[in-house]
Amino acid sequence: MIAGLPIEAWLLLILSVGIPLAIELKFFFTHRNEKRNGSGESEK
Amino acid sequence: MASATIIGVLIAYLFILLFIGYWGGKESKDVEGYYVAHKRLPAWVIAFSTNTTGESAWLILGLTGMGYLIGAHAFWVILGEVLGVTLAWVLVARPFKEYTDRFNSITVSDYLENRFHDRSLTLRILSALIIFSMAAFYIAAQVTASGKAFESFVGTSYEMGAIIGAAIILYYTTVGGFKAVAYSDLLQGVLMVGCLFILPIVGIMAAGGWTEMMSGLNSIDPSLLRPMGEHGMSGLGIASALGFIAIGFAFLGSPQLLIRFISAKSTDAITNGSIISVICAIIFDIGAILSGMAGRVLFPMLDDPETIYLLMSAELFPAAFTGIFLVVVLAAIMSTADSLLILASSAVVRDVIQKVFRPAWSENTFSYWGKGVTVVLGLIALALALPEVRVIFWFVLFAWSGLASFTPVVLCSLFWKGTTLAGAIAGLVAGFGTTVLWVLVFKERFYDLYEMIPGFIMGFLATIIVSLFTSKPPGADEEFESVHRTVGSPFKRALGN
Repeated sequence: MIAGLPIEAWLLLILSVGIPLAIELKFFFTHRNEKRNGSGESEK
Repeated sequence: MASATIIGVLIAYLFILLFIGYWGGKESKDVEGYYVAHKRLPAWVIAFSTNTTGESAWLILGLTGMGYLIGAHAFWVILGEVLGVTLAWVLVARPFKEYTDRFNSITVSDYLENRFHDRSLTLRILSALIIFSMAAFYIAAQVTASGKAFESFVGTSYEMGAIIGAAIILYYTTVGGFKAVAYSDLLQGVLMVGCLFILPIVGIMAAGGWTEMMSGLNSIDPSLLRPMGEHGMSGLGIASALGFIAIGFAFLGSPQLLIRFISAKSTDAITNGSIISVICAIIFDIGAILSGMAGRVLFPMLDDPETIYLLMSAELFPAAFTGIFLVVVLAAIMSTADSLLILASSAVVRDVIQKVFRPAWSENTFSYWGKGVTVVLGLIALALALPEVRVIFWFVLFAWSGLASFTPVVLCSLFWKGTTLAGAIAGLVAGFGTTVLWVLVFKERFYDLYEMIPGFIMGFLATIIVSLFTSKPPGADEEFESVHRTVGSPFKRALGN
């Protein structure tokens, strides 16, 4: 138990947010940097 | 009966919606304007519009009730929804936007027809039929929810509440078109985020703090703190967890959500919208479930768990805030109903009348037809909702699965070059057919497994197997490669076309 909640529940909660957020941040910064560097796709 | 303050907040909100409808009217004079706001929507708008359309009153009343009833077992919903929203933006949005811009598509049926060079109109008519039938269920459920909300907030009769709700939604959707729908979704989304951020904090504080809340839940029922809930690692527990995860995967291919990607002003708007949408999904889901868990400690003896949100907003906040919390319920209802109305209208006017019968009408005339069909659809939904107060969330989850039967076909079409027209038709028929059959025949016999899972499995299998034995349309491979060269990998720089 951590702060009254079992570890497996914490793990599920953290993974539920952490995995998608990590994927999203990787995607976001890849494409933001691409735009800043001006080497990516053309603006539609 | 609600206080004058609460009614004042409610009236102010409804007037803002009417204004948004009037303001959006300029953009709705042709088909592209009425159905996708001329593809000019910015990141914030498409992000909030995607989340609020995906999350109906089910989020506010259903998911808080789920947190109340099953506690930490509902965390699986967070995993499914946040992952589903993330993958939709990261994987689906950019290639889908690129394809639909190249094809000048404004509906999912347009996209599928162009992607597979379908001259037979089969895919278009099939898609339109699925969208129309499921949207009718979905809208009727939201009108029912509106009737219930007005009845409990303002003290009107259920019938009067349903009529008022439907009339407001129909006004701003018909007059303002997709632009009004999307901007009203932004307003509604901001309200929903605010309330689902504040409610769990106040709820947990009222329960004596985090540790006290968990201790309270443990003393009520220790299974409320276990991720696998009361059933543990049994078939029922696993089926239930899988069903909760599956709910979120509809974000990857449901037409009412894909339309948001089509309407984005650029692929940059998609990049920026993605992070807003993911954060919004996290706040929505965690906020709703933790609110329900706090509510279980504060009000442990409720007969109907789905009233916990209303009870907490009334008991823990002053009247003006309660008014805003109540408006959020209506916001959740309206933000979904308006999107479904305009989607179903596009299935009739764009997908069937304009593209199948091809009358020689002006764009303006088609737009008027779009508005007329929206009104007729709203009246049909009202007629379905008025005679009987149905179980709202059963209908919502069923229609959500039915619309999600596009997902296997959309994913294969975007990521597997080998997908053929026959495969897409088979996938759509198998996915949708399995979803309906599962609910009617098999669900009770298989641990109540959520219909979306067998629907997805059959949809993918049929698409892949039939595609392996049929041929691709000429030129589709080159288009596919060109689109993917342009958008690049989600995690690498695009190489340009």
